[in-house]
Amino acid sequence: MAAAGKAGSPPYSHPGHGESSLGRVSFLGARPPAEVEAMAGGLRGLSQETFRRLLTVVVSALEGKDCKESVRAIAESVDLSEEQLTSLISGMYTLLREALRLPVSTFKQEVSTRSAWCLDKLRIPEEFIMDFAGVVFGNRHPVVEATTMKQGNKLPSVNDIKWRVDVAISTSSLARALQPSILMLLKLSDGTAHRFEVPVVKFQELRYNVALILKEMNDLEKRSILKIQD
Amino acid sequence: GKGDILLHGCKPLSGLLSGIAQATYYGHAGITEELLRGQLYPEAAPHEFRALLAKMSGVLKSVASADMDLNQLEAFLTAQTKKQGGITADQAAVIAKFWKNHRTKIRESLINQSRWDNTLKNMNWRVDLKSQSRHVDQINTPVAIVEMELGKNGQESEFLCLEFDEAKVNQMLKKLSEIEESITALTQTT
Repeated sequence: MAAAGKAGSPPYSHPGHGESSLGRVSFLGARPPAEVEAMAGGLRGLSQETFRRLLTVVVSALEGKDCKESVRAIAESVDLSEEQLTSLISGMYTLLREALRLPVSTFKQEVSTRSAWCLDKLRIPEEFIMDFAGVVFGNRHPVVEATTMKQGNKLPSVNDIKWRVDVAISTSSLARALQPSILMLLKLSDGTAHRFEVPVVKFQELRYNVALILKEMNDLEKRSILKIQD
Repeated sequence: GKGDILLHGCKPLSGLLSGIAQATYYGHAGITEELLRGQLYPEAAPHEFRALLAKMSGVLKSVASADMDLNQLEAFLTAQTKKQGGITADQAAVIAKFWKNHRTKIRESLINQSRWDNTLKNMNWRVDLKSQSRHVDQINTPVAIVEMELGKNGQESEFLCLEFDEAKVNQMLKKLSEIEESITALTQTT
């Protein structure tokens, strides 16, 4: 389904000039997402090395790369349960994803404010904040590009349509079928392909509907043109 | 005895054929031999009913799998009445009436049984107007959102959501017209 927005914390309200920090809501929202809170709890007692390895994996994920192998490697070499690992990774992912949604300039205003990172509420260890900040202020380009591509507000469209008309002569249930059926293969813009059969009756419905869509589009265009001319 | 008369009766036979169709062709679960006997032939002995059920199921299966037209049906049923342990003339009449009423539906069901891939079940759509530029003269382009329900027998449907601009709708319509021409050519030659 189309991603119209994302579920979870409310959007960051951009502070105006001269506003006090008391009225501001952090980029994580008035209340940080549950997974971020859970992660913060899990960070205590974590070695910096492990944290950095996890951070690398999360950044890779944000860039749209497949991280299964890396995660497996960490899981094998570290004394953390699958649950703890999942909790940390999802929390870090959410935190960074939210932070990266905002332009760097907005963020820089907050960097000195402890409230920006909900530090008091989340109590993320200082050295980890530095690493997070490094990602947020560092070279964001590949990450941002990857996320906007993935979370694009568009539905897939059809790139190619292939079809075939088959006639079933005989089947295990029907000795003499002689039934035509249409097979369609739709190749979509997101790389997937969908193959399905269309009974003749349904096909007529499909054709009728598509023609109706075209007519609707033409009518809408005419109407909007008339509106402008008003 | 009394059971024999009932086994040869007309009304229960019609019901029996319906029950067989429900179980075999319309996918209605839970129609057991016991249920049918209790509802339709309560006086009959279980082994007698079983024999009747088997005979009628067999006849219906032959008729259905050959998708018999009226001529074939008449010939087939007449042959059955002449057979040793076959059916009576009254039973033949009931079967013939049943087949006339249910032929199309049973045929459709049988064809469906040979469809193992996803089938297009339903289609919903709407057309939105997308505003394009921030300039004074806004150019509005229509975009169609189409939802196709694809399903397999006995499984939950998959919903495919797609976006079409006008060019893509045109392209789709063109392909569908090609298909239509192909089908017309096929059905004209058969």
